[in-house]
Amino acid sequence: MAIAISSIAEPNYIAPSHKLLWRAWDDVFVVYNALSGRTHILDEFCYHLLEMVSEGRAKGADIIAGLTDRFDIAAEGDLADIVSLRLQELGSLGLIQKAPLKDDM
Amino acid sequence: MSIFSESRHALSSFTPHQMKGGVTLSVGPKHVRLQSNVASLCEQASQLYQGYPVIPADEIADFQVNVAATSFARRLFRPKVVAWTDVPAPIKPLPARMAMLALEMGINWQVAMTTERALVLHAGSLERAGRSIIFPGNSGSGKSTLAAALGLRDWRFLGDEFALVDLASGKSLPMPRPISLKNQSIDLMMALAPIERFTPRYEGTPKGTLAFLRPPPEALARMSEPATPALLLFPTYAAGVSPILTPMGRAEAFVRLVAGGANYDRLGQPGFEALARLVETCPAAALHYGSLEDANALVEQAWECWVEGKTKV
Repeated sequence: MAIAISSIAEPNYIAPSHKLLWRAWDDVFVVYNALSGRTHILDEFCYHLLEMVSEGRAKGADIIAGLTDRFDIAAEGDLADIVSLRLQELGSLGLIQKAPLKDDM
Repeated sequence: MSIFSESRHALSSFTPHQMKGGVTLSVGPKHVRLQSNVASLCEQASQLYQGYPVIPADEIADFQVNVAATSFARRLFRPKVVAWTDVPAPIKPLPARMAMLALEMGINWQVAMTTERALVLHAGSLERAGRSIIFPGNSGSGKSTLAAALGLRDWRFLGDEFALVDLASGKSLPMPRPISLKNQSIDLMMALAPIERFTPRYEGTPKGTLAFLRPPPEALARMSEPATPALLLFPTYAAGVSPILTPMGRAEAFVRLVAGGANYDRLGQPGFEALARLVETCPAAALHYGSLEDANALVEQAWECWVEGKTKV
């Protein structure tokens, strides 16, 4: 079943990429956030989400498109929900944040 | 933190009377000022710290620890002492007979709280041929006993409580402080090391019976010589357990070191980079052992395999 990308909550996400230090060992990713001074351990999926946000993919739909391109997977099933949930988790860790919408500015 | 002097300090000693007025010692990269008005502590500390270079009084210490009676009345009735430190420490007053423990706890606190130019890891460490092995572990893991015992063989003892890794160079900085032995480790080490290097036993401490052991003379004479970290072994002692070395991935080693870092949270980005460099340059493994002989054999095996590249584990 193809997912309805437009159904994803559409906040713009940004990452303080210049404040993040990375190390990738095996399938575990360690991220140090110089803004918070906290160190985080991420799995591969979260790492790629964070990387895409850091690259400027600001919306869930863009990120899913990036994931399907990079891993040659179909954008179906509950992928949108998973992406949304993990983006929220990254947000709660302070690794990404919601950018103000243009309409709000 | 003091910068290492190029020249070796002559080994020296101080009198109990000197410690009453305050005496500054070189302990690895730190200049530590010790002071106390507790006569028994001055007596024991002058023995335990025999051989540590005494620094001239006009040189500034990195920190000081002053162990004093909690009040005049407490000198007379059930005497208690407290360790006063530059950075206030959450150390409760202890019975006067445990004044040495208060002193060492005060030094531990100061090292953890004031070291800015090195990672301070809860770990023992040793050196051979310019390279170091680090034993990260919590209290009870056996890291002190292991470091002490191997320091009597053909390893140089660098420390048993804290392993310092210089942020700039990545080198292990020796800080050969008195070795804290607990419970059955005391008898174990008394069978191996000269008796005059031990303090009396301090019974009934929060960690059981304690005794301190002065490091080997070579450790003190060469406390200005750093080493290049080469191996991380995470020890776990359990009586009767079969000895085994289990290779550990970098991510797990990193996480464990963060958990065992005494000052990692305060160092920021340089701390992260130094710790990452440590796990990227040193093979890591979990070391489970039930006797010092087993541990020694596994450490030698790991060293030969992963550092010297001679054999397979």
